[in-house]
This record gives sequence, C-alpha cells and structure tokens, in this order.
Amino acid sequence: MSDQSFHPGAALTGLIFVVLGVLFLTDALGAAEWRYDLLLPGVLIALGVAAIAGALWRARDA
Amino acid sequence: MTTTPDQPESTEPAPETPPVEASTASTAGPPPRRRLMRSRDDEMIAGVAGGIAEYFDLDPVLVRVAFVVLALVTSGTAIVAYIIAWIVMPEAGAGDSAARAAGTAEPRAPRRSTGAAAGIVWGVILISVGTMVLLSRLDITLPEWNAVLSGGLILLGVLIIFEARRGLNGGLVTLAVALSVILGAAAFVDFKFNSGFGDRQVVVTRAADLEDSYSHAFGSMTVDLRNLEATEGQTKVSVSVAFGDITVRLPEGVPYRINANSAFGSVDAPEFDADGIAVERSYRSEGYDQATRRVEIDVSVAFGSARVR
Repeated sequence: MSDQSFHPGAALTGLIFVVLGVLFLTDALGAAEWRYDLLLPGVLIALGVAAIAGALWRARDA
Repeated sequence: MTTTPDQPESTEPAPETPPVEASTASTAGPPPRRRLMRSRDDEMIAGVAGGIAEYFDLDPVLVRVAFVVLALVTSGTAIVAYIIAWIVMPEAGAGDSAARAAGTAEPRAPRRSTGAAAGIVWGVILISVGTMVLLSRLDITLPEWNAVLSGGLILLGVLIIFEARRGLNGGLVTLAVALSVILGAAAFVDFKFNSGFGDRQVVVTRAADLEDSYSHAFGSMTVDLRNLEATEGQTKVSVSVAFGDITVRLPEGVPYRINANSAFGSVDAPEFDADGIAVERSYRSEGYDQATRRVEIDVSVAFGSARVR
C-alpha cells in the first residue's frame, strides 16, 4: 500500500460525508427543511460515489 | 564411527525413510486445525468479516454485505454479534492464511497503520451511546441527539479527508456509511433519537393523557389505545421507532386513520403491510370521514418493525 501519497478519491469521500452531515445538522436544528424523499436516494447516490472512489483507490493500489 | 564394507550401501537413503520425510515427521499426523481468527490482512473495522471469509473460503465483500443486511433485518442485533465476535475471536498474524494452512507460526509483520482516528471515533461512539442510554434511564431531558450525530458525521468526513494523505481509511468510511444511513432513515420518518431504550408499555384511556408522539429508539414498546375515550373531533398521535419494534393497539369502536411511513423497516397493519425502502401508506377505516370522534395515528419506522392491531 502506498501510504505516502494523497488520494483525491478519499478526500472526495470525506467531503461527501461532510456535506451529508451538514444537511442532517441543519435539519435537526430546524435551520432548513429538506425533502427527505429526495435526500434518501441522494444519500444512496453519495454512498455509491464513495464506494467507486474507494474501488478506484484499491484498483490503483493493486 | 566405524566403517564397514557395507557402508556405501548403508548411506543410501532407505526408501521408507527419505530425508525429506524425516524432516517433516514432526508435522505428520492429523492435519492442523483451522482456527477462526480475525484477519489482519483484510480488515475494514476489526477483521471479523475478513476472518470469517478466510475460514469459510468466501469473498470477504459478501460477508460484509451479509453483515450489513443482517444488521438491518435484525434491527441491529448483528452489530452486537459483531462486537462479541470482535472480543472473542483472536487476532491472526500477518500472512495468516498460509501460516494457518501449514500449521506454522510466523513472526508478525508490522501492522498496517490506520492512525489513531478510528480508535478516537469508536471511543466517542461508545461514550455517546452509553450517555444516551444512561440519561434516558435517569429520565433526564436529552439534548438534540440528531444534531449530535450529524456533527459526528461531519467529524468523520473531516477525519477521512485528513486520512486521505495515507489512502482511504476503510474503518472510518464504514462508520460514516452506517451513520449516514441511520440519519437518513431517521430523517425520512422524522425520528428523534431523544427517545427511549429498553421495553416500555403505555396504556392511555383518556384523551387528555395522550401525548402528541411516542417514539422508541431501541427495544420494544406498546401503545395501548384500546380503551381510549376519544373526544369530539379528531385525536391525533404519532408513534415512531428507530431500531426496535412497536405495537399499537387501536381504539375500539372509534373510526381511525393510519398513516404508515417506513424507511427500511416494516409496518404490519390490519388492512395493509408496508415494508421496503421509503414506503408510505395510508388507510382510513369505514365511516372515518363522517365520524364526529375519530383517531389519526402516524406510524413511522426507520429500521425496526411496527404492528398495528
């Protein structure tokens, strides 16, 4: 494993979770009202992007 | 050693005892016993799934997917099973599969470093869950845990970005995925994690005693409205569950409307079943629209199950 190089896929994955966390946080605090019927599939799409980013990382690593 | 005229013949390796066989004589006998151990070469969190996959010669991804599916189906019980397996399963050495197959012990290679982030996150999670349960048991008003958990997701994302210097931290991503799905499901059914744990039974007979909502995070809960004396007009109550199971006993002799909302769980009502992903159902009993006294019940399930009877 090449531990020393920065991987943009991992950074993108982290960024996706930061954005999701902000969405949930604003809703929990009542600062925004999100349409969760749209957000739930959005979460799945985001998780899919994260999975692809991870797969690309492993493929590059192999 | 003395030599004899027969020595050249005696130095010939005997067919029955070749040198190779002699060197491996200590490993002869019953084959080495395979042991179920946590993998160090293929781990996302603690190597439990990787170890099970190696033991049964399966694809570790399938084992992980099975764990996630089981966690959802069993309302989180599989997570407890994972933690128990984490505790009881010994950790294998590096290159463990070959070593175990040969029955030999090899010196351990340096462990792949995942940083201190995973340990910190697990510590925060355990402390948070323990605090939630403790405050709930002491009937102390809880803070907005949905916001706390959302903050935890942001923290996980930041840690993943920070760890990107060394690659993709699988353990952190797994936690972030699980937390995202939990928060997404809770938000979909408007569930607040400020609710109870364990078993709880609520019997309501007077409309004045009826609370606006009843919610339960883990465990089982029964809301018994069978003897509810409904007042004039519409009486409304919301019932929600995150991971446990909840039973609602319908008021007798009073027309009712049920609005069921399920993220990943199931709602079993007299006239319909609602299960699957992001399912919404509604049902009105006969005479509901014309009734002067009627009850409307919102039933929301994130991962658990609800029965309406």
